[in-house]
Amino acid sequence: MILWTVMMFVLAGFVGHHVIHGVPTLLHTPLMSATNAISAISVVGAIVVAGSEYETVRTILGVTAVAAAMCNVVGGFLITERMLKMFKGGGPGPKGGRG
Amino acid sequence: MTGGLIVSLYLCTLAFFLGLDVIRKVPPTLYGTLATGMGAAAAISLAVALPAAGATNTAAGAVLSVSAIAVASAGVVGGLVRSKRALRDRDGNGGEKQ
Amino acid sequence: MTSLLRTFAIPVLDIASAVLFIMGLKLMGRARSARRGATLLGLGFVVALVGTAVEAADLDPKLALAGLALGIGIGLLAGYGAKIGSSVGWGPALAAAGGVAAALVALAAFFGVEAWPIGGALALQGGLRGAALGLAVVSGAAALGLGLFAGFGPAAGGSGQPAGTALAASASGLASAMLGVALGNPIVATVGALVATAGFSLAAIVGKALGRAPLDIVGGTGRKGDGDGYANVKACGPEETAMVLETARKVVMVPGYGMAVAQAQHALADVAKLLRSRGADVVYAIHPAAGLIPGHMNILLDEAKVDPADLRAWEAANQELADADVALVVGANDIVNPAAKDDPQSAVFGMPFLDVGRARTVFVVKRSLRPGAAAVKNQLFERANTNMVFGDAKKVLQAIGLELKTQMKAAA
Repeated sequence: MILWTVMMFVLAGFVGHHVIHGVPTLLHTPLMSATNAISAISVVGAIVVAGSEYETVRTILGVTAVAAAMCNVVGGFLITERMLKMFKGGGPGPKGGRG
Repeated sequence: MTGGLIVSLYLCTLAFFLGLDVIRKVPPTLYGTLATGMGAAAAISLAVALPAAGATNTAAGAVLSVSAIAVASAGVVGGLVRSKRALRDRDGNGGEKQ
Repeated sequence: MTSLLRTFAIPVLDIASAVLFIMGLKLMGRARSARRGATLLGLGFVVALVGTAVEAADLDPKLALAGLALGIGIGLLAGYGAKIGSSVGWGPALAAAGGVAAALVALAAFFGVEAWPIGGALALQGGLRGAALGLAVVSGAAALGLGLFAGFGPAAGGSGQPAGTALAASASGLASAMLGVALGNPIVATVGALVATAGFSLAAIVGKALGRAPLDIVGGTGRKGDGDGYANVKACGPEETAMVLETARKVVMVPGYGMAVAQAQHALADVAKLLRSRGADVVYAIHPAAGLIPGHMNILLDEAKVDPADLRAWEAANQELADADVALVVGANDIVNPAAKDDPQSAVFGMPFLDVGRARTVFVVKRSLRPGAAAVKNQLFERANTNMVFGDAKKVLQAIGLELKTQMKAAA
């Protein structure tokens, strides 16, 4: 099981590199904001912990984690949206985009 | 068991995406060589064919697994040899007319 | 102790192998690193096999070794026997080998093996397993079909042959992936899936270059010629052109009227300078009929500060072309039309002509396939080692220059 998970980690790393490679400079900031938002995928783990039948301390921690993560997600997407709205007319023309 | 399926699906999905991204702008001169290399890589099934031959105890199994090993190793060796030859000819640029 | 080592070694080896495969495939897509890429692929295999050996150390190796010996022998024959680049081929069929093997193993897993000896943790069971194994068999059969058809069928030997090989490799990869999923072997599943889509991507790229769908290319159907009556014309973009130019040791530039129209002489000179700075040998082939009047090209190139010593008159140019790696034709058509030498019926027959086909690779930068002043078809564009680069000469050359600069910076 460990093998598969680590392998997924490695593969995902490669995929991440390729997906981001060659993004025009102008889009770096909104991209960073969006990736920050999705890093709060940890909310899934938090939900599981909060929702399971654990003792009080763990549940409190879990709920806090859910709240924090959701802040991250919602806030992150909102900010990204605002950044993107600043590009008038549907996004910048990439200067020196993908080679 | 279903866990295995899910994990496998994840793994395959990631690998599928990687496959799309790894091959982007390819110079026309390399089309054939790259394709041959891929064919060789696909013979990774050799890695499961070997244990099959070791674990089989029926005649059918023996025949099937040995043929699998033979075919797969032929694929690897043949493919890599051809790729190397094609690349040696080109020496970094256009090779023999493909 | 040994068992602890084994538990660690296997994941490390498998992951290392996967990484080697990924990097190997990626590097094979670039001319300068292609050789290294092939080596990495081979290494990836070695590591994967070592991992398998470690994992399966308790099993009886006799049958396996027999199969290996047989296979390696056949592989060497297939690899060294056929001419590289021979038109009909075992090339595409070889790509199907992986898939066929996967199918065979799947069948063995159905019928011949009672308990699968290794990798049990994530193997599928029962119905799912059967389904995955079945898919492996089907994909393997498809791979074989594609491979044989592409290698020996109607379209064999064309410039589209790599498409068939890529598709066969893709189906093979899919078969291996399904097999790996069924049996719980992560390296087989990963590499298989990787090749499955990589093969598909490559086939799509070739399809785009030829302007036909990949399956059409394999089947020999699809557009056999467009309105201008050209068939099998390969096109590519400035980036790919730069990738080939980057590794060329000798380049011959062939300017024509199109360069004058686009005023691309400065961009052309820039590209030449970049290539020179990498140690390549660059000359300009000046055909007497190039442009509007004799000397037209000379004037333009002089404007772009090209050293007159780099210019070659057409006879000298043809000698240079004989050992050139790349011929870069910019906006020229009739002056490079091989019909001048080959076709007595043609309007251009007997004219002095620049035999750019002698170079290893030819790139023709033109806005379209429209004929030149002589209004005849140019068979050069259909040749296997010719690639069209459609677009405005100045823009294309500037893009090539930009790509070269980027590559040089990356390589530095």
